[in-house]
Amino acid sequence: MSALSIKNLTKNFGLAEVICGVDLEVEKGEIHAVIGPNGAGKSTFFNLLSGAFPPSGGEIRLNGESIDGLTPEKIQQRGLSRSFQVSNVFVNLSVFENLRCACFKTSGSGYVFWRAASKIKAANERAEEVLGLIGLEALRDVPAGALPYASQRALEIGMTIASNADVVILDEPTAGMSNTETAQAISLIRQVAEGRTLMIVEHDMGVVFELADRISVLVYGKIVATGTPEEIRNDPRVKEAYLGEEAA
Amino acid sequence: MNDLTAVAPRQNRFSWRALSPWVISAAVLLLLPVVFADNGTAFTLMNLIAINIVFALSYNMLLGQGGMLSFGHAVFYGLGSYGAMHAMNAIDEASYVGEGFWSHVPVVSMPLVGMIVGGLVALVIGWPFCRRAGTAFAMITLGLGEMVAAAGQMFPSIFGGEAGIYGNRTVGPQWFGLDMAHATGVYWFMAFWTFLAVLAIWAFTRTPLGRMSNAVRDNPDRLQFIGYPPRNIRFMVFIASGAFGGLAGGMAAVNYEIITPEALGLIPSGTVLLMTAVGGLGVFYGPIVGAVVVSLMNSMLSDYTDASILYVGLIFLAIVMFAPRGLGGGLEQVRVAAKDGSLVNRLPGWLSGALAVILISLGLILIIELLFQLLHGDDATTQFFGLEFKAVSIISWIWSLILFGAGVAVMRVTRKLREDNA
Amino acid sequence: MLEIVIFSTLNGILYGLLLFMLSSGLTLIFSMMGVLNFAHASFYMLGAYFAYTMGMEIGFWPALLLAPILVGGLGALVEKFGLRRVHENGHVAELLFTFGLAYVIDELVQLIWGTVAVAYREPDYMREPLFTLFGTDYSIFRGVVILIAVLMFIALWFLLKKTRVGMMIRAALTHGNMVGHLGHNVPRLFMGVFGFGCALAGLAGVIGGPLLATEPGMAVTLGPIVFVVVVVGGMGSLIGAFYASLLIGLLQTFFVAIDASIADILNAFGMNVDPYGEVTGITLASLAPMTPFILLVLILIFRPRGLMGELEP
Repeated sequence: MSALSIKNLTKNFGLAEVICGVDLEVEKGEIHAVIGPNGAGKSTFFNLLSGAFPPSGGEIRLNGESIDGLTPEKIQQRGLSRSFQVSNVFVNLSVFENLRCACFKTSGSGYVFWRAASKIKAANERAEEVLGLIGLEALRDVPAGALPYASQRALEIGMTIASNADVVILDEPTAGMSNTETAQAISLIRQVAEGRTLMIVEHDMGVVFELADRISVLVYGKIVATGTPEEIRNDPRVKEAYLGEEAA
Repeated sequence: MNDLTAVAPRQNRFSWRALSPWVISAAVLLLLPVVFADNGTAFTLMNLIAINIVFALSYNMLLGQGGMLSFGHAVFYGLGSYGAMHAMNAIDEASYVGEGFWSHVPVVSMPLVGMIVGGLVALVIGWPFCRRAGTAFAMITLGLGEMVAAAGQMFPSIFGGEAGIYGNRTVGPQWFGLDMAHATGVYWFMAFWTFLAVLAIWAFTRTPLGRMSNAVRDNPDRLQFIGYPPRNIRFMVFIASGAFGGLAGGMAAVNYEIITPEALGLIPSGTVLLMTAVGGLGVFYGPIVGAVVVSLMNSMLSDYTDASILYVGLIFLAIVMFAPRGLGGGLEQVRVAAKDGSLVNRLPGWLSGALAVILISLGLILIIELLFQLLHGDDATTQFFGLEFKAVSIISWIWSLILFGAGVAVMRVTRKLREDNA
Repeated sequence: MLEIVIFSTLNGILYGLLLFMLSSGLTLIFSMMGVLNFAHASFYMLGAYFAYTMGMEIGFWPALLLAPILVGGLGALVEKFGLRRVHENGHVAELLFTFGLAYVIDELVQLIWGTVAVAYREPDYMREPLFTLFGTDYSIFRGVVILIAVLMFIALWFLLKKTRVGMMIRAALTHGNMVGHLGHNVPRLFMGVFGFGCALAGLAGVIGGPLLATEPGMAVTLGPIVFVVVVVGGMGSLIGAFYASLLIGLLQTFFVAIDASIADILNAFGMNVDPYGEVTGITLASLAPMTPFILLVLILIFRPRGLMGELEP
């Protein structure tokens, strides 16, 4: 069964139809990129998947279970985790604290008030692990709001994978990064993708074509094409959608 | 970054260094009665400060830690106090008769009663409140506070009407040989509970729930995506905060031996907000500093001027506008600078800034006092450091302008010092 | 019975209109700037005290004109030199600032005018009855208050619907940020709206002072009720504030007039309840001060967006 199965997903805001019937199957373990011109509805799409908004119609199945209409917490519990385009971290907590907070759910300790946070072994160990993975050990005590941009994006990804979700969706993870930073991000994303299903929204075509197993193109709220990078590169509908924008 | 809020301290593994503030505090608590041995006024003041410290810290669990501004915190304080008062009266009766559950309960445990009452109240009423933080929450707590304050005038058997309920703290079993008859005996009671409460509230900030309360303050939206509904976290913090507010109320019941419905209303709710903000929301000990400073000002300033409450309000405004980190935040800046060695560089800038503030304040105080002289047509004069200033004399006014102007000038001139070494 | 109903209705509407004068200014400021002006009732108080002091020199009608302008000017200064500075620190800081402002204003009023109520009264000729019903007089002054309130609404309506400034304000009522992006001089607009809102509060004070007593506690008494009106009406909705004001005004006035206790009501339904019990002996009249807050709690539980609000507060 696919990791994510989306059938006829629609979302209206008042009279505006932003998502107009999306069908998509994301295979387990693949890296699936979603691209499309600005305003196509990519962020809304991710918001629907992660539970930020309820869909107006259609269904979403995570590992076979229906998750449309569930709250973000419930979806996160079921194993789907997302990152944000604009870094959405806890600005006054240190990097390590941010990660540790993201680890509490797995050990079920978010509500604990009778033990010190530093004594919750599972959460602390996992946080250290992720800290190493995203390469921010040197910055572990820096308040997240004071981080340089690329480090914040790395923290963002770290918080998303901290809970060991098996389906991770990343919203423009390399937005605003320089070439070096992007390269580092790509390598991090590859590591993150091991053993997980990954969906990413990206504008940077270089990143997309390097990482993705398959690509879907979202135009005006509908998926116009899905396929391997090669297929997408040569698809006339895609070329038309981008109006002559040649991918690398 | 919101200047008003906290920077979480690094959680060290256990170190002797980390114990030092606690050891020092304990030592201070032990030494104070020696220093003020025969000074009854001092003990009264210290007991008041103790209550306010716990009250302000409990409030900061909501505001500084959890990001929830409440205008009704006195509800927990007041109801906790009422609960403790009724318990004390129950102890009184039971001891007189010589039997029953309450005859075994010592008065020194009244803060616990207050804590239970405060926590229960928060548990029962808190759920609908915790949906949103921010302005909505503030308004809800305002309405709640007013409602409870109004109810306080209504049920005489619980609230005692306008006169309130009074009690006697010398009754019941006396633990630790504390007869609670004199302010000195009460002091040990206060010191014990204050230390314990501060320790507990501090410990709370180190727990996962404490951390999550910071997270819900910083970014409630993200909280959902790491698996927790913000409302649940807020609710639990609300209960904890209410419990400790009630604890302070229990302390007050024992100290004052009387509780009136006024303790439920806007005035104490406003005062605790004042104390906490003046002390600084972003540092754990900020509210302690604020409680001490504001309590001292309220008690002592009224001997020197009619406008003491006005000054406290103006200080509050000045802090909100110019120094949102509060006094405690300022202290923390100095401490951090001392630790990482930049204190030497920054000291000139800070000292000159402090000097400027003093000058400006003196100028303002002088102007205000002179104005009040005019207003009340007294022949009274204002005394500054032994010098007399009369409103009729133009020199006094000139002096005030000079002081104010000098302060502003110093501030301007030394600004570069501060900016370069920030 | 009829007498009670008629007079309670008249007085309730009067009180409600006064509440609307206050809450309309608060709503405008909140919608425009996102800040809930905790000191709003303090400006109301200043209006009353200014009118009292000025009125002794220059008479009621000139004071009616000048006092709100003075209060509005003060409000504009507060915005420019105080609120604006705090704005960047977030909503909590703004609320704290307006709270501190209320505190300081309340203290200043006490220090300047004393802690006892001042005898701010309407002019003698206005105490004559406008009409007499069932032997009770309804003074001219009350009629004048209603007239002024109605005129104020018409002027407000005109301002909002028919002028350019009004258009900007209406836009800001629902899309505050956008107005700035469209290039209007937002700081000046903010200052103007804040000043105008305070002036409305001051005007309410000029006519409310003689009606409801002019004393240093008037801000603390009325302030929370105004907030309740705004929340119940739906934050940001002027029409909601209007309905909520009338609702609360009428409810509270009726409750005060009804001396029946809870026991009386229950007994009227056939139950047999002790009329002197502590809970059952509570009269609706003594519940009156609590009515706005009971309403607040009910609304927050059952309809958090208020009567006409669109967003949850």
